[in-house]
Amino acid sequence: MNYIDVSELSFEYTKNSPLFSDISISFKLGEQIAIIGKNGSGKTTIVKLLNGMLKPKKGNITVSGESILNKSIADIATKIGFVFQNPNQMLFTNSVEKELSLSLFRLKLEKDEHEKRIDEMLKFFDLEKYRETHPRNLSRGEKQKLALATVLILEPEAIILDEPFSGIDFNQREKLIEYIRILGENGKLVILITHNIDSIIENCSRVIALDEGQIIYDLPVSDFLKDDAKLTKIGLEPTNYLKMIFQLRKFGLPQNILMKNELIDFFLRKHLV
Amino acid sequence: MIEIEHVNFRYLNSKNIILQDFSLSISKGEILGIIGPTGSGKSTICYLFNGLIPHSIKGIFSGKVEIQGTNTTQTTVEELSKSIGYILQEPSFQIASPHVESEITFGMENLAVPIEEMEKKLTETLEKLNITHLRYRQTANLSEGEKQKVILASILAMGPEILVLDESSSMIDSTSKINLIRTLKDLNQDGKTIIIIDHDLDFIAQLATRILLINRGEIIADGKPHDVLSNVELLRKNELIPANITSLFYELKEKKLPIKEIPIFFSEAIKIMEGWF
Repeated sequence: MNYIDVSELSFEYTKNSPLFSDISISFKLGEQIAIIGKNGSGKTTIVKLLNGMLKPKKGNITVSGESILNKSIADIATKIGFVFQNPNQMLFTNSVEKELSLSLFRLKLEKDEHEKRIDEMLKFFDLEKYRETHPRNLSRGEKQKLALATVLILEPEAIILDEPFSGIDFNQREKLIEYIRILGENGKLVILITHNIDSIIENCSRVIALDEGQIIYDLPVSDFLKDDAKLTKIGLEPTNYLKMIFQLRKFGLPQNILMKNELIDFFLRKHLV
Repeated sequence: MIEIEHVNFRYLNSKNIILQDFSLSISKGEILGIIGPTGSGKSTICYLFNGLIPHSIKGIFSGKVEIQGTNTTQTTVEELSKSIGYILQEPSFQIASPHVESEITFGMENLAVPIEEMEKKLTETLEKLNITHLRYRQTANLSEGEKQKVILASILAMGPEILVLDESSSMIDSTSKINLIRTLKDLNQDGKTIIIIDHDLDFIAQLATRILLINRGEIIADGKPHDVLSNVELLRKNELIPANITSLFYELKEKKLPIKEIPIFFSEAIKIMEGWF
């Protein structure tokens, strides 16, 4: 069964200038999906429709079979968590603990459960030592962890991450990849909004490619990246890594090799022969 | 062009010294890539260029910063902005006008650029960055990547001698990045000095003529792009993500494949791998 169903959705920012016309799309629990497209293709707009920040002109969005069009953003957040690209846009209070508590407040849990969830999140994200710290005094990586924690503490079944890999350093990226993997293993639906094509190779199994508000492709990552034709069609240049893969395929690299580890294994085997 | 001599800086109400006895010299026509982990002091260095330190950002400052021979303590941020264009990571912090067109002309109006010239520069810059279609759009309805391009256009239109891009390509798609690289190279050919801070080392590799690796306010490496960006151990030690091709070759070399030099460019990688088939 689909967790999220978007059916015949239309949306426009300016009258008579539709960004989306009758688009339909479904998401299942356990999927790790990338929504890609060039700047202005509608990636972030679709997310804002999913989390209730924007309302469609026409069509419906259901979560577990129930329409969310008349639900508040706060209600939707318990089902679909959304992590902004910039963690500063998500942090409002004067301590890490209060930030988590504020997020949880809307669930009106018993005091013990409320505190238990805060403790669990602080531990999971290694933020225990910052419990009393003002979020503005955290590093960007720590802020990003806290922003993710404020979303995960509500235990939503789906999590949307908007450009999670931009502007972060090595350690932060490795940890983020690890969190995404754990979420996937726990049967969550993870949607990455990105223009970083390399990042979807390791983290996603399905790609939804948008261009000018149209879903141009909805394919497994390996099919989408068979060659550069589909990227070109949606107006994106392959990264240097992908250019290398496409060129190596012309030399005889098998089509199914895409990830870095697969490529290393291939060349090791080749050199041992 | 830019001389920083023995600068010490600590933000107000902070115990950490961000820059300690920091010196740096940047020549005219260089494309300097500044890399380093978050919190390493990269942006603080850029605030020295445009005078935000010591004029606007409060803290304890000592030392000397000269831009084109002018000591930044003896001029104003407004005056420095005529020669230094600074593009922030966060476009929303920099957008001041409701429409794209007025956003791009805003800076030129402040520099009293004549109307005919302003119109010409507006059209040229929109074309250069492939954003003519955004000209009459409301800035509030732009995507983050589109906002970044509009800010770039507004700065480029003012024609500063020195351009500072602080993570300003982070939200720009791959096609626009290639276009941006071309535009920046053209500007550099015209004699502009360019300073780029970016986490995307692939992007930096395609542009920079010199790389400065910073950590905890100290210069860890200052050298040719190939020497710094192919040194995977040094990059990882400083929490940086090597370009995908570079880290792939590093791992292949670790596994004893015949690799003399670790590449940073696609073309170098293909040249090596071609022989393996």
